[in-house]
Amino acid sequence: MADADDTIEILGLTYPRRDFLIYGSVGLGAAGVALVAWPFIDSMNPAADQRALATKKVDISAIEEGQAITVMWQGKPVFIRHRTASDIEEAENTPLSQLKDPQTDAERVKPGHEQWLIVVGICTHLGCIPLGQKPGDPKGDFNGWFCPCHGSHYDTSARARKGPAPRNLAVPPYEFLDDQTIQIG
Amino acid sequence: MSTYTPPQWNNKYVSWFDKRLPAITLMHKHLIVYPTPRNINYWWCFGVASAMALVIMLLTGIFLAMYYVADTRLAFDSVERIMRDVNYGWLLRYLHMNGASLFFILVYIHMFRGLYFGSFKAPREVLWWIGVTILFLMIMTAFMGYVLPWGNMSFWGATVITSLATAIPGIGQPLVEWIWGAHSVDQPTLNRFFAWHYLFPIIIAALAFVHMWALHEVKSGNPLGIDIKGPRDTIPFHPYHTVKDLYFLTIVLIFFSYFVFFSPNFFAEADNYVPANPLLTPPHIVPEWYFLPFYAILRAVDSKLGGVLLMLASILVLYIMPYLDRSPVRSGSFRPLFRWAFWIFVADCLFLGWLGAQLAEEPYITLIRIATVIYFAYFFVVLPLLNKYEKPDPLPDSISEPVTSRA
Amino acid sequence: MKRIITHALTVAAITVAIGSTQVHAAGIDTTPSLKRLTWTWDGLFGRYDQKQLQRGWTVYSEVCAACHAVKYLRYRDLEGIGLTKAQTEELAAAAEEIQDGFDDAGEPFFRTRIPSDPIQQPYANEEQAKAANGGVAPPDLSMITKARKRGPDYVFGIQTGYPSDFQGEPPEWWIKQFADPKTGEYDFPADKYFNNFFAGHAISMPPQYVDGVVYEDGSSPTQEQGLIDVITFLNWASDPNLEARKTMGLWVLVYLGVLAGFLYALKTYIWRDVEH
Repeated sequence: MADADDTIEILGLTYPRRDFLIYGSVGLGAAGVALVAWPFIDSMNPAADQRALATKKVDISAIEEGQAITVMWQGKPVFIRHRTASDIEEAENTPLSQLKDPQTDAERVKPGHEQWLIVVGICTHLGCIPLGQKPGDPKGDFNGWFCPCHGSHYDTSARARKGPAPRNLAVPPYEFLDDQTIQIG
Repeated sequence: MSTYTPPQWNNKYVSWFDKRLPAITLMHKHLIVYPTPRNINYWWCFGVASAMALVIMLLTGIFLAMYYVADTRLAFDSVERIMRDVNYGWLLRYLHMNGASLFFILVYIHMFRGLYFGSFKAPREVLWWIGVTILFLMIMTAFMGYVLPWGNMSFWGATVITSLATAIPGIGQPLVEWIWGAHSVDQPTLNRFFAWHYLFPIIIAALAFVHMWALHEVKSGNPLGIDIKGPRDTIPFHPYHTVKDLYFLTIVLIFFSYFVFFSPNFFAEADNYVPANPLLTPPHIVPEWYFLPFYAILRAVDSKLGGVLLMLASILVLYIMPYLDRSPVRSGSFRPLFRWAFWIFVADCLFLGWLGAQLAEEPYITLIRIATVIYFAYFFVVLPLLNKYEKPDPLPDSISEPVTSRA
Repeated sequence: MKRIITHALTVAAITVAIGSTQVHAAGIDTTPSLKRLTWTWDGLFGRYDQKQLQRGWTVYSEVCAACHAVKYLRYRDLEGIGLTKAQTEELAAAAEEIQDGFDDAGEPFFRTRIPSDPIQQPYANEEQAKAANGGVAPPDLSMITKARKRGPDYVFGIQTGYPSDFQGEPPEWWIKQFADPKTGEYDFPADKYFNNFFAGHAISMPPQYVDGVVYEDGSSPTQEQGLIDVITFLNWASDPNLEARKTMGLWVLVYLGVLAGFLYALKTYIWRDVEH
């Protein structure tokens, strides 16, 4: 039986039967392997209950001016500080040239809610939790936070000013649902 | 028998690597040019199908183990979390649950093929012994795996079967407490069952490779049961058997998929969806279907120790098959009397399976006893008698002769 | 071709043979047999009806939730029966507060529920459930249709299987079978209800009437329709992924069928010149 003569016709095109069958099977098989692989890979992604806890609502009405609280979000501490007017002024008036990781204060807060600074409380150097949340805590040279592990100083906008920290404390995604409530994540 | 000459690889990277670790040459010898009898039928595909089932179990098992928690307070909940919250967790779980049934049905058919076509006879005795050992490990793995979800049947099945160890005189009680790690099936038991359930399949996988090694040393049998006499009798493994096996695997997957997607709890016991309760025994303790024949034999005699020994004997007897069935004719195709005995034996195994699910009362107890006698009689009475008195049909000259004479 | 059919039938026969081993010996009393209903989720193309699921949730909340928990369901899971995120938040907030650890003084700390929290349970723990129900805790319903043989039919059977609305009143057919033939006395607990399908026939749960439930649209179901609705909901609670599973299953079978066709054609092509 001459292979070249044994052909299959699909949609007006002619293929040798052997090639059609081989490429067809291999193609289908490869597609199948990819389709089977996906559920296994996706099963390692955060599960539905983890995803549900990806956002957290916080009632900030009880935090007085000058006070700060820490909440856990996605397993990480988040600092919520109710800044005083002088805190805000200090933060807004810092020239960008003095910053290791230049960011204006406005980029780190929400318009109309400048008194609220919300940052992830993990030092950008090697991951310790900076001090400055409680009234007796050292706040460092810039009145913000101080990391005791290797001496990083953060200002009132939680920007890195002195010490080994390379970047400002991260601002998580958040929004104001109303004046009393924020949703992080 | 043809000798193998390793080819020269054209690709320089391939030949560089192959000189240092001849993996490519190995694959070429054993998967591409490996001489396979031209006449083997689809019953010869159940080995590779079983290997596919093993791969399914290993893959799904590893991914399930990323979420399963082996703590008696959390195990049941962790499985529910997999079913409800983990992405495609329900699919992983149902594949694993039904994969166990798939693995056993394929291996059982594979073994029945061996019994019918004399695949355990010289020179394949060691190959057969490795296979029976794999079966033993599968049984233990499946038993421990069933305990892990910590449902009520998991707990009580574990209690009943591990308690069988107390039948051994003298050391029974200390032995069972050593297995339990406690004074009853409890946290230590669950933890170690999880550890072993993870370990045994890896041993099974290693033995499966040794099984293949033993097979390739003596080459596959065939439905005629006669030896390979020359190159005319064989064809290269690729592309003939690679494609045929892939086709068969696809058919197996169709049947498997029907159960996984449309009837995933067909083989399950409803009682195992109730969390384990040490104070509430289920009204009807039944093991999974693949254990039912052994469970029936266990209950054939009143004595607890007797039942345990009979049950063990029913599997151990397989090891001595090469010495029980000594007919020089391997294949059942040429042994008309043997064929009758064989199919009665198969029917008896199925009957024992059905009996295993019945309540331990009359008339089932008597029926179990009859079926057990038939089971052992096949091995110790029928086969030796057939050896002595059977007149087999004449064998063809070679594998190729019956088919090439048609040309 | 004949070979494939033979082999396929062999596999099918073995499947059936194995399946039939699952048939356990039936009970030997003359209990009425469980009615075999058709459910919307049965078969290759089975689905849930979302409106029905919502009606079932209403029946559960108003009738069953007083005694039965559904501990594996969270408020956010109800988005699976068509509730909006806002509705689940509302339901969660309206429920009893949940304990979340301890406060700074070491006292249990309670907060409002959020959708990630489990649906409020009627009893704080198993012991309380038993104490409030004559020594027997009402079982959790999150998996009930999987945890009983022929679950959905069984639950329907239980709910419709009360010959009498009063405790301690077994029916004639049972008395005839089990009463002492000489004295006519029988032994049935005076504080339990007789149920046709409950194991041992003596059930602690009184017959439940669902036709008083008022659905969102103001209508009320018949007893039978209300039961079908709540059992639909309970089956969804046991098996929320059913639709995804069956949809994927259909695609898988189609794909494997096509692949099998290609591979069979390839196999016969490759083997065409080999005598075997």
